[in-house]
Amino acid sequence: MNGQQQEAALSQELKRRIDVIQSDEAGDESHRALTSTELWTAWIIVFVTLAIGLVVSL
Amino acid sequence: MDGVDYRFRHPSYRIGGFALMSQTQEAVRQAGTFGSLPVLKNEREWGFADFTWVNIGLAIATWAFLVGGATALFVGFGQGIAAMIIGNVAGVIIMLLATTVISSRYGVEQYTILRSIFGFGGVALIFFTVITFTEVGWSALLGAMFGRATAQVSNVVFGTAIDPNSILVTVFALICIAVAWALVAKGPVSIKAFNRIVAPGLALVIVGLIIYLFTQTTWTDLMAAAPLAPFDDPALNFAIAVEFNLGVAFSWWPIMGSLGRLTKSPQASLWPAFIGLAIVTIIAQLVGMASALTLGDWDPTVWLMTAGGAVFGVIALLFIAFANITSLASIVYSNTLALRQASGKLFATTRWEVLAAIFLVPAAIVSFFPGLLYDQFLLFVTFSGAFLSAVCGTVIADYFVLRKQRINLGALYAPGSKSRYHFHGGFNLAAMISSLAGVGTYLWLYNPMTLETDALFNWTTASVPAVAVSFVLHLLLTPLLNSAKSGRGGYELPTELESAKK
Repeated sequence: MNGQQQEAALSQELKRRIDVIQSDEAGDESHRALTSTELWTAWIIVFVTLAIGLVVSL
Repeated sequence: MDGVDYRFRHPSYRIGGFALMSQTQEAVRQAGTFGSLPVLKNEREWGFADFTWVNIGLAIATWAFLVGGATALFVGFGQGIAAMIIGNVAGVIIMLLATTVISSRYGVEQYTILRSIFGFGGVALIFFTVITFTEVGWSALLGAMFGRATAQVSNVVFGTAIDPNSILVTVFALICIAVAWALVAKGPVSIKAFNRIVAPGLALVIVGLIIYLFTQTTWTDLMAAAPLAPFDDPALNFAIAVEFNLGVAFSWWPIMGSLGRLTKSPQASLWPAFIGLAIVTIIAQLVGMASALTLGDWDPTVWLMTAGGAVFGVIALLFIAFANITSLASIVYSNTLALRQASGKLFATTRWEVLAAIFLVPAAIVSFFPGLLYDQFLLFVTFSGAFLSAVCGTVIADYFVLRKQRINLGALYAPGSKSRYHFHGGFNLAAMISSLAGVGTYLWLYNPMTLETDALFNWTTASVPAVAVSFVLHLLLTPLLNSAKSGRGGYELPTELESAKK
């Protein structure tokens, strides 16, 4: 197999995939990012759990 | 993986004016599944339900029983429940925010993503020290558990007398490693197929153990059972139990990002992983702890034969041995991907199967000492946790606060100094210093090797302050070391979508 041809194909494919993903990102930001509600939900679970731990250890 | 972009199978697809040769097509396909190419939305394998099963399969491997048994060394059942919930819930969420959520958003495995945080050289340094130590250790431990479980089955069924540290256990462990390698060589689809069989089977084993436990003991007796080998200070015992479970939660970090890239959305990566790695793990660990407290031995390959008699014990051990293979396969898959990304040009053209074998060689060597990791299990888990918790704090600060969940994909793949993620000669000093400060904080509060602790450790643990210190320090150091004027790290352009610098 022609190594250069393979490398060129991979490079081209990488560029295409980056374009697809960044277009997707630009077109619909909320689609892929974790929303602030989900993020806060996750952190609240962490802090409440740790607070319970502190109470138990006291 | 079959989910390759259909355009690559269409005869009209051309590159450089030439039709793609089948070998080149195959190379591109392999790069998507086994290499560094971002995975597109239509190629993702795992939705919410699939990824939940994958994580349940990971969660209820033998290590959950082992962790439950080890927790029983320090605390009784009541405090053990609290320690497991606190350690797993808090630790898993922090760990997932630093792994699957990011990888799922971009379809990129985490060691490529980490270039934006630590730099190319920083990722290599982390991988070939912390991650290799952690993952080789877990791989060898899973192999040893498979070996011990198989030896126990042989002892019961065939009347042999194989010692837990004998060479035959090593032979069984090597078989486990070989089968896991064969699975990984076929790709993530085979891992998914295995998990669909193993996870429900292990769930049945857990239900069987719960039934057994409640026929053999009462809730009152369980709550009154003394820990197996505690220290004199009860507060210290509880803190170590929490820290140990936090360490277990953080120990998922090296593999989760690589699995997360195959999920269909960050939501499908975060909550299924939380269900599997936190909730189901806790249930499996509780069963392990209750069994250890009831039967007086912390090693599940020993107490499983005592619980429920030979028939149940043999079936349970066989299932658990089987499950260890799938867990090991998941570890190997993720770390083989990581090895390719972190090694630069060294393994860039190495065949996937060969690379997986290279990763498994150190684990195979450690398998010749099956008692080593069993005896040093607490040290191994907490020492790994010291580094991984600090790295999590840095990653979360960088991705969520500094970059507002936006990474420049082109810069991740741009070579060397042409990438804005090159930082200082390939190393982001801000991230490296903040992570090391987190590790230092951990070791100041709790030294796993000497078991020396600071008075604060009993109230704060060591992992949580390590996360906090590395998080805050990274936020403070980044503007100083990677100022907007310098352009290093691209922090001045958090919302840009343009390609990498040419």
